[in-house]
Amino acid sequence: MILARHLSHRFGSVEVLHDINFEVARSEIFGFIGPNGAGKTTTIRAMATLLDPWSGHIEIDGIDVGLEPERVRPVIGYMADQAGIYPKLSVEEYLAFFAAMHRLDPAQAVDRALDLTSLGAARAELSGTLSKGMRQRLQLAKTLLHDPEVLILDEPASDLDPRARIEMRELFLRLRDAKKTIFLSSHILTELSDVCTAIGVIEKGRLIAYGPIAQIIQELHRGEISGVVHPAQTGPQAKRFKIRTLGPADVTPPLLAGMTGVFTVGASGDLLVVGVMGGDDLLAGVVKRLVGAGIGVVGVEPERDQLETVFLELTSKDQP
Amino acid sequence: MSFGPGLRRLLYSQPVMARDLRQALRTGRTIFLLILLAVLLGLLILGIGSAFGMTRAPINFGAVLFQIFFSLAYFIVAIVGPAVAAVGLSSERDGRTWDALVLTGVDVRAIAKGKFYTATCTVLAFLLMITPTSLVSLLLGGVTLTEVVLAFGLLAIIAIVAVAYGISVGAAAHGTGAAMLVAMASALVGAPVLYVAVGFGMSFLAHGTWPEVPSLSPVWLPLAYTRGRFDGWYILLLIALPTAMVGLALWFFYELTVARLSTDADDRASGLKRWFLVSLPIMTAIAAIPGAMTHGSSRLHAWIGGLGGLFVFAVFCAYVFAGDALAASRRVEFQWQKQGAGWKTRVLGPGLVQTAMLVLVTSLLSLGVYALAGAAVLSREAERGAMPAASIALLSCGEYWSSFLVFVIGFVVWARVRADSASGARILSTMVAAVALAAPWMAFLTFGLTSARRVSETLLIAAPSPLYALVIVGAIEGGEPHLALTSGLVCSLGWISMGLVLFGLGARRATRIVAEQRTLRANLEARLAHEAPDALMPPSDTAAPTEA
Repeated sequence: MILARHLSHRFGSVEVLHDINFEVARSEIFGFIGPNGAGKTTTIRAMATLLDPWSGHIEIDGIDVGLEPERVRPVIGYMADQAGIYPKLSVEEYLAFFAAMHRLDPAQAVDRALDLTSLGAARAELSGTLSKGMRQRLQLAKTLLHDPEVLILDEPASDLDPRARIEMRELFLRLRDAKKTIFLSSHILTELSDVCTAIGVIEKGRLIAYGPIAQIIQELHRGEISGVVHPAQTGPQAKRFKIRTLGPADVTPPLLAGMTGVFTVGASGDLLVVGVMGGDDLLAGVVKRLVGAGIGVVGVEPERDQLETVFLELTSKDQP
Repeated sequence: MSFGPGLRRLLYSQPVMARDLRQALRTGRTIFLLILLAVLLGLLILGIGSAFGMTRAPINFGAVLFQIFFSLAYFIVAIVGPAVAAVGLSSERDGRTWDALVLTGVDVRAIAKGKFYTATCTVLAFLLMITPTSLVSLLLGGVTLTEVVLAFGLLAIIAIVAVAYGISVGAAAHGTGAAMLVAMASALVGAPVLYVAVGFGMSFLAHGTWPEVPSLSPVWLPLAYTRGRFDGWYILLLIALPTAMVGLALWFFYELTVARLSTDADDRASGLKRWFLVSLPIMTAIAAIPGAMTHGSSRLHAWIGGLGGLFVFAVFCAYVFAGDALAASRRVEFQWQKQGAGWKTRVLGPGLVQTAMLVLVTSLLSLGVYALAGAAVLSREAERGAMPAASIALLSCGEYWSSFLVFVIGFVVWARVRADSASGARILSTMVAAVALAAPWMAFLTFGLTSARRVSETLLIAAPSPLYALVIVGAIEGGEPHLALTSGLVCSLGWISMGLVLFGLGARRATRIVAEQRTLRANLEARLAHEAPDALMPPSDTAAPTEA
């Protein structure tokens, strides 16, 4: 359904995408993850016909995006990260306007989109008065108006409350059952791991892994992803812990690098994932070293989320 | 739907306009501003009327008030109109709603038209608000109802052109602040210039042609329509000329807006090139009007003025086309292939070098035809047996400015290819042209005037400036043409040589860049064809697992 081959892009002399290749099958939910500035939005904008890549080839439903953007647009529904709204239009007017732009009967299309996104109760409210989460839902409703075959969603759940997130997850699953293909990027990894059939991990413009999550983890633990986990250092005693720090954890990996028994360190935001081979004494030693260096440790817990592990381990490749 | 019945109908035909009007009615900001301006204008006119109307005969004062009222209304429309339009379009980008609009599949032309209609409606609503105030001048006498109605009609046309200009500004701006600043700043400069040139300046010419039209009246056109004698000049100057100018301006702003809203991969050149090819002969004909209308000793100057106008127009077009792509994109070539496009479509399509060549050849042709036609007309007035000095002067001037045009276009091509951006090329070209224009004269003022030699000899220092063409004209008229003609010829040969060299260098580099891009694309396509679709692998340096 979506095919990207040898996709590269530059802004001036800065290469932001380098030889990206992936394929998303029909009815698949594909999660696209990567740190800020990795090239997620550039890739997504190229897929959504909004950016002409410097080189490469993208196909959606068999149509070359670069050659025939006007034929691709009716097939896709694109929801941008922090897209704008018309604050002085009501929810219903906003959707009616976009329905008219799509040459649809506004009455039918609007009701359907409101139902899908559970926004019916807010139909008369002005868009500008909606909460962030409601606006996000309104964006999704707008994206679903013309019943597109492919949904390209950039951070769709970033501003949603837990209940809305659960609802959105269920909506994604319903859309998948309706044979829709969904390509979504998100920072909320738990959300992706619950719904995605496959993921792609992008860092510094390079796709460093892609495929079903289970397969990536399997390959990762086999050490096939170079420089991240060394098979010799892992074994039955190996455990991973999530350490939440007071402030950014990015500065901590050098402190723990080379420490006996520590085989992997990854940091993202205020979260540090440490792989240790040993007992509680070793973990206590890690915490002691962090506290000794003036880093506040807020909590320590065994690491459970697989996708977080994958993400942190893959993207910590270049860190010391 | 909560769009009212009227707006709901509009929603299907012009969704952008329907939505903008719905929002404007709810916000009320623009409407409030226009009502405020209308009230202030009304109070001002009533104030002037009551303050001065007591001391003057009403029949005189009505005509004065007519001029004041429509002059003020002109400034409001010419300054506020572009700002309203520019903000309307740029707010979509600023508000991050532009992408959503484009992705609905609606063409950018339709979006721009919707914005144009909304802004036009807003400004026309303002004209409607100020209609009652205009009746004061009518009541005081001195102008007829037809003249007031015609003045409103002309104001509406000015409003439409101002809005079209604003839309083209909004299409290029990335934020509402920048759009408003550029639109208002350029209108604040342009509106008074046009007011003085077309208003006061042309009123003298109108008075000369139709004595019933008062001179020194900036709002002379509606008066000329009712008071001018209906003949060939009436049709040419009052109907054909304004229609052509307004039509060309609207068409240009439309094509410019479409080009600015399109991406690099789209065909941004064809529309503007069509406009250029239609405009150039019309502008050549318009440039000849002053020469054809003038008689006696000032006829040569009228022809030279027209030549100057035509030269400036050609330079302006060269700057406009600096924004053309180096070559047709893959998407454009695909569209051509699909449509079975012929050579005409391809010549009119994107491609910097071919566009510059088209502008160069057609502009030189126009300048040549103009100069020859002028020379032929002027030679008829020369005394029998005497040298047709005026014709030679016009041809010399045409030759010099044509040579400089070769340089300007050559430099624009070279700078565009080197700078890799249209704005960079335009800035650089403007700087170089300004230096070429002014530096020789500065050198003359510094060294020439202090020299002990005769001024006619030291003027040679200024020969590289295109303005030196006027010195040549003076020398020919004065009967001492040899030195000026020779130095002018040498300099014009210099400009041609430099222009052709720069054009050649630019074209060579552009060809190389395009060839590199095509090789890269061909390599990619060969690679894609070689790889089986089911053998999709992540890049070799990632060693990531394959797709299940």
